[in-house]
Amino acid sequence: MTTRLLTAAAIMAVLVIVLPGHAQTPITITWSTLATGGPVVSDVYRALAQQFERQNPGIRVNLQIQPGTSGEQYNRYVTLFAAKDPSVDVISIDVIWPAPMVAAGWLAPLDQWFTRERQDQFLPGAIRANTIGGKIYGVPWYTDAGLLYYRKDLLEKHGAQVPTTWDELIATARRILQAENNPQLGGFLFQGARIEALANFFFEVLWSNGGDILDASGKVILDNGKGLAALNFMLDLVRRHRVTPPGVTTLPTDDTRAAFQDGRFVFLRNWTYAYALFQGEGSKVAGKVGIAPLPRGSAGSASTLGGWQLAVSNFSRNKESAYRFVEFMTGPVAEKSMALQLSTVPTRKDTFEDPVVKQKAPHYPDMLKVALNARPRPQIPDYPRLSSIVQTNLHAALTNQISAEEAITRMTREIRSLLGQ
Amino acid sequence: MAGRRRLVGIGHWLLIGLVVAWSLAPYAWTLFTSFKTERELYQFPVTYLPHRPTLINYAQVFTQNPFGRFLLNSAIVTVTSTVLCLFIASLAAYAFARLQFRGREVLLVGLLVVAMVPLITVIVPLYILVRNLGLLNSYAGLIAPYVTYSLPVAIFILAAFFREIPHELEEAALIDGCTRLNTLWRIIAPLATPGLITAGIIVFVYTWNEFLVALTLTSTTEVRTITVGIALYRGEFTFPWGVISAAVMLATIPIMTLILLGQRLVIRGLTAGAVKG
Amino acid sequence: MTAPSLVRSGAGSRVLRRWMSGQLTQGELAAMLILPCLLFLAVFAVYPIVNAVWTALHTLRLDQPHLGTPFVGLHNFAKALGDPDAWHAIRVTFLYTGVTVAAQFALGLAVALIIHPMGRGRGFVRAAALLPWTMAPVLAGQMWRWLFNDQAGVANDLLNRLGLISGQIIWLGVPALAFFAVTVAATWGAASYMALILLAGLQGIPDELYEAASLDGASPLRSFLAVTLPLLRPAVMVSLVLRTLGALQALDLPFAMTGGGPGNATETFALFIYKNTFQFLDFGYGAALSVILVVIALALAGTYYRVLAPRD
Repeated sequence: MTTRLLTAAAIMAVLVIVLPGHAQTPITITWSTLATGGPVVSDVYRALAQQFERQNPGIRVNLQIQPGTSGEQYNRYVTLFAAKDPSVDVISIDVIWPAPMVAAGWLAPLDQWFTRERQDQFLPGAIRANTIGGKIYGVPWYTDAGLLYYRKDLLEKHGAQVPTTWDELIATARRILQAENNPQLGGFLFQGARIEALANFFFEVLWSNGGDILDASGKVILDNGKGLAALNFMLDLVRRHRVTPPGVTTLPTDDTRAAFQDGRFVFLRNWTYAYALFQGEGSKVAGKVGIAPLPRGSAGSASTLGGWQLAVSNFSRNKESAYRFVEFMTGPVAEKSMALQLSTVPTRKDTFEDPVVKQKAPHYPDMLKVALNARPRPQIPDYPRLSSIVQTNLHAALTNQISAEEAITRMTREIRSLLGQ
Repeated sequence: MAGRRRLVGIGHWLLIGLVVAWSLAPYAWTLFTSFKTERELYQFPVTYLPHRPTLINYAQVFTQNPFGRFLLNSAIVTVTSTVLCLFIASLAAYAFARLQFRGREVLLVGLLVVAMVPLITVIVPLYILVRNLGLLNSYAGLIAPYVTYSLPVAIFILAAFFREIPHELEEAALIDGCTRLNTLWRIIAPLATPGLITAGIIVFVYTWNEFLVALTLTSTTEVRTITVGIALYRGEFTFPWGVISAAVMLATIPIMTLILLGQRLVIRGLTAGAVKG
Repeated sequence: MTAPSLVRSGAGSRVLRRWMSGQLTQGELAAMLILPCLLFLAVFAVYPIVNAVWTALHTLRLDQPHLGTPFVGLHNFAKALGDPDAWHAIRVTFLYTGVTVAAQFALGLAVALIIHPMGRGRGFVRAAALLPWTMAPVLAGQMWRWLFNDQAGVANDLLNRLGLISGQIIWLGVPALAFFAVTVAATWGAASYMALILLAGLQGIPDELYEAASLDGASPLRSFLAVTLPLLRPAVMVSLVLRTLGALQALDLPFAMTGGGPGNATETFALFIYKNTFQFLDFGYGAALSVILVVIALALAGTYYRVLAPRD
């Protein structure tokens, strides 16, 4: 032991002489991140960063909390990277950013450190979302997915099972609405405003029936009939089955959460963040909400993968130290601590199995089922444009400006021309 | 005759009431919202006055983020930018309103271009510029772009008001042996006080509310302004209405104070002008 | 920008001497007055704007760095002319600008005329009338979206209570109604800005002129037309120009209320630029669109100038 220490000391001494100034000055890496949920969240991040600093005395972490929605965060990083700015080393990125950011050359490949073996410890969908052209560019940090929220109390009262298919969902909703006969109660709500989540719900219906936007070779197959069927299903929810109110077309994500939380709906499609709010203090539906995977179509259940990853900037001057921090923040200790304190959904399989986590958060097995089901959105550099095309035409159809056929035809034509097909 | 005048008076007060109601109603809504619990916020049918008023939102404003610091930063950046901008703009506006010089039209077009170019288009070069000057995360790094991009608006407004002032007053002063600069400070500025206050308020509010530049050029609490600060209360999806309404109401107080103060100054300026005229 | 004739070689000390004695020529004085303004513009505006014009003439797609940044001449502009989405956004923006500026002017002038003759309490009413404009557009947009919500919104609640409608209007889900709702929100916000400028203009009109007019036996309407309007012309012009420029750049408010929907019914030109630049990362195209927007603004400002400029 003493000899080891002495040797280490000798090496240190030599290093200090050979590389004056280098050994003493710690490297500072800057981590720019969102902190959804306010100071409670950033305090947890800060504590974890300090724990990392204690374990790695040569590295200091500078935490930068970025405000705003995913879109506002993206804007800032675009500016930073367009200016080739080296001031940020680690950034938290949304699941749809890797493709465009990698195409732009902004993210560093992590394969030399984040080996296949290590990748296997994470949820496969999340790994796929970070893999572009055979290389991996981000480590999944916490995950998210579209899921079904239902009112346990109403289902119990009317002796209904949790629906497992889309048809069951419609039938159950109609039955409960009829029996309740309350004009202020609605059946099912999704995000119908012209936002990303509208396209995501369309993907979910499409995938659950075996359709897709692009096939494995990247060819556009939206017009093979499944796309039209999916859009017609969405329209029927409003027009034929009347389980979804026509005003759904004006509701972005959090407005649907608020309406469900006010007790005005039986079912809701939303992301995982809503769960904690539903169960929180002052919520009208606290203790009455269950979660389930989205209903199945003819080809099973599918949901859109969301969530956040940690990536290393290609302009960073300390990529290896940066990765060490990423590894720590996505390691078992950090993921467990975040799951327990912030109710984030982990990306490591072992964290779901952790006895403490299981005991504290009994809904995690359900969350795991959902997370395992989640699929990345089309991974093309032009995804933002593809999504915009899908959103605009879906929304035009939902608001009666064009027919479903017209919407699908236009979408297909515009996506083909975007991809040069 | 007296009856008719009283009728006109009553009509006038009704109209004034309408103006105040139309202007304040959405603010009143925000104020009421700031006293509501999360549960009442989403309640349907709508409640107007809070049924069980709470101060929790105001408490959250101060405990979640260094709100006072954001306010202070905004005050420093905004006041400095406004004063600097008004000073520089009034000099230039006087030249535009009163003097003939070469390149006048070119400059006017240039100012219009600066006023009109979307900030999103220039934000990347602006970021590079401010970074290379070493001004990222500093008050100066915000103030300089704010002054620059509010100059055109301030100059347009001031030039319009300078032009309104009758030439005769100035000519009299010039004959009395005042220099041009003296006439600017002694004659024009007091008479143009309403214009100065107007331009001041417009620059102040624009700077106070600016988001994109503040978001891009700052990343630390020490210099973050109130609009970026308020955005920190939002989550990826959530928009906590109660807390944000409380923050908005608090952030409105300085603006309200400024406008009321401005009103006093206008009256004083007019009186001064009247004495001179 | 051509700098006025200030710094000719060797003239510096002479100019300074004459500055002290107050005997500058008009051109020299103008140059001195404009210098500070020019300095700020030269440092913080010229480079970004020249850079934007340069970008507009090149291919610059951040998401496809392998394309490099070749010079493409007017290709990006030609692309805009052939892009139906760009034309749609221009149409929306023109309609939006026309409707909101007209509504804001009418309302702003009315508010200014109502407040101007007030005696006591004017300070308070003026401050109250100004408040709407002080709310940041992105927040105002969120608030108005809430007020126009079909189920829990105040608009429907009030209309139902007043018995004007029964049931719920889906304001933001129907193109014409969404456009109307956005217009109401924009008018609420900016009419007070107009009123502020016009009110200051009214305050600058000497009372003696009104007294003279009323001695001549002019009716209130006549004195408004003969005295107020002509003297108000500079304030009218500057408020119209500034509001037009503002409306042409409308982005935050429609984005927060509708996200550009339903479909793309409220997608303004500025929103279109924003999408192409920051979401699609096509900086070359975004810059070309910005140049087009600036040219449109210059043309409109020129028109105002020709129509409203004092001819003395």
